[in-house]
Amino acid sequence: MLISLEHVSSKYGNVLALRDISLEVDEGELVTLIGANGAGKSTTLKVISGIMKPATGRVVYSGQDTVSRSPRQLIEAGIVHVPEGRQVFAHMTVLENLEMGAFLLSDRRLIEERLDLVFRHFPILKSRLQQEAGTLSGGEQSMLAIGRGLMLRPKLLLLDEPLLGLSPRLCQEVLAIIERLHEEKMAILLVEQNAKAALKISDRAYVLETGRTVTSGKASNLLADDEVRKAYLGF
Amino acid sequence: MIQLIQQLVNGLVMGSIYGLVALGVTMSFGLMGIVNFAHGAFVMAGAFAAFYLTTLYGIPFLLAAAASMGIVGALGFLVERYSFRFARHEPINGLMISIGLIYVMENAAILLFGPENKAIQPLFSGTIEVGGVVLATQRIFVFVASSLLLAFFYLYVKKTKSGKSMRAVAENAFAAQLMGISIDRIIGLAFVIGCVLAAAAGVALGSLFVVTAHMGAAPLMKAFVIITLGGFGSIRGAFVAAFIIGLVDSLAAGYVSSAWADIFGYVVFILILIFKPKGIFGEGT
Ligand SMILES: Nc1ncnc2c1ncn2[C@@H]1O[C@H](COP(=O)(O)OP(=O)(O)OP(=O)(O)O)[C@@H](O)[C@H]1O
Ligand SMILES: [Mg+2]
Repeated sequence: MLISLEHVSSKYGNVLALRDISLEVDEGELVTLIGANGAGKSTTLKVISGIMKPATGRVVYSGQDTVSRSPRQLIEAGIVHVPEGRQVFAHMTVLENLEMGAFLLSDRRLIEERLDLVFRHFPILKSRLQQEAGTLSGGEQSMLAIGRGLMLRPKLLLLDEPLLGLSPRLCQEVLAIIERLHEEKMAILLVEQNAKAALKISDRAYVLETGRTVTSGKASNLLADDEVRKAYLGF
Repeated sequence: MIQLIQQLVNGLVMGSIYGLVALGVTMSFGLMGIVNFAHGAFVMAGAFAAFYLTTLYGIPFLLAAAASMGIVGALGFLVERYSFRFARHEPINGLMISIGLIYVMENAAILLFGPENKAIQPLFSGTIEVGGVVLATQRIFVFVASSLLLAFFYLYVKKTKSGKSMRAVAENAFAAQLMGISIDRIIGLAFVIGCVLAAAAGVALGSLFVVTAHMGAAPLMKAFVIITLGGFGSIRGAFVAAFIIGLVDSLAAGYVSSAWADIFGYVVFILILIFKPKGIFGEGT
């Protein structure tokens, strides 16, 4: 297993956001996390990237407990978290945003290589390099946010609702890129409200409800299961 | 005409000094959300350090200025690390700390050096004449040195990795943290840089005017006006606003009355806020 959460709970102050989360992502796997608003999806990603610590339970990455490791150490170990709502640096240029994504790299040649890699996935960014990120369209900002996350070539990419607010055509484009990253053997944990679209490209999925993992299975099985569809997927 | 040129030059000199002070204020606000009323005390500390080194120990001006910037930078490091850092999530605590710091630092200066006015022996004492305009050499030197510092700072923030990550933290600390940027280190560094620039301003002011325990208050008020005028968090805006305020002040002092000089800066300030409520440059760097 690349990463596993074992009965994790976590709190914001006194508010229990995660009650009992257990999930796993294997090397090269694309796993989707679905659940209603407030179910704890984003919080789960924060626990994995180390910016929140579990109150109880364990997070094990590459065979090691992550509890004592800083977010920065976890990034260095290959976990990159692309947060909800894009969060690009609006007053910095596209290029500067991508450079910040490579903050932990110092080899200029390597950074250039990674830039090329990002441009391969998102050619549009290349023509916008000197533009302030805040002036990009919503879709372009989403691409920049993902591209910024790819600068470190993560082993485990955490994507929090990358399709939010995108037109159907852009959704297809971003989904295709996620599929391509999957084919390149990057492990991806995808949080998505658009469950149908996400499940179609995923290997497996977990369903979260009020801070618990309630169902899981192969994505195709969940899609085919009428009860799961009715209860959790909403279509 | 000659008087006009002289006033303009004075305005540029003051503007460049105000700019140095404003940068520290704008960084504290942009990165920590703290309105640092104690920033003027670092200006004062810089002037006292330079006074002490030049007058009492006879250390050459430039060396003393550099040492003063180093000393105040170190002081800033300690102050951020052991006080403001704990107030980051409670701006009101930051306010209390900054007000407390003013008392501590100003009184410490009086205790250590006595209450009487002091002066820093300037690097240049004469005047130079350019086309009939007579200018104090020290003023020209202050303008050139301060402008160089402003330019260095601008290049640092725009071009270096550390400067870029500072902007990233100011814009979105959460996202910056996800890139592996250490918020604590960036904020500490920014605070130190702000204090170093404040010390430079203090040395400059002390070499042109007098050194007193309360000398930081006036330039600090100017700095608040400047960052509001320039648009909070905007460095470019702060630069332009600093020179506008410097020029307005000095023209008013020269042509109307020096007793009323400060008023005009505030009038321009209010006018600009009426017509450009977000400052000249709005937000942004
Ligand atoms: N910063 C916070 N402070 C306090 N409570 C929070 C905070 N962030 C989230 N919560 C609470 O934790 C719970 C889980 O939130 P989380 O953001 O993980 O949900 P989510 O599944 O990502 O929802 P959404 O689909 O709306 O993004 C919610 O009840 C939420 O109110
Ligand atoms: Mg969420």
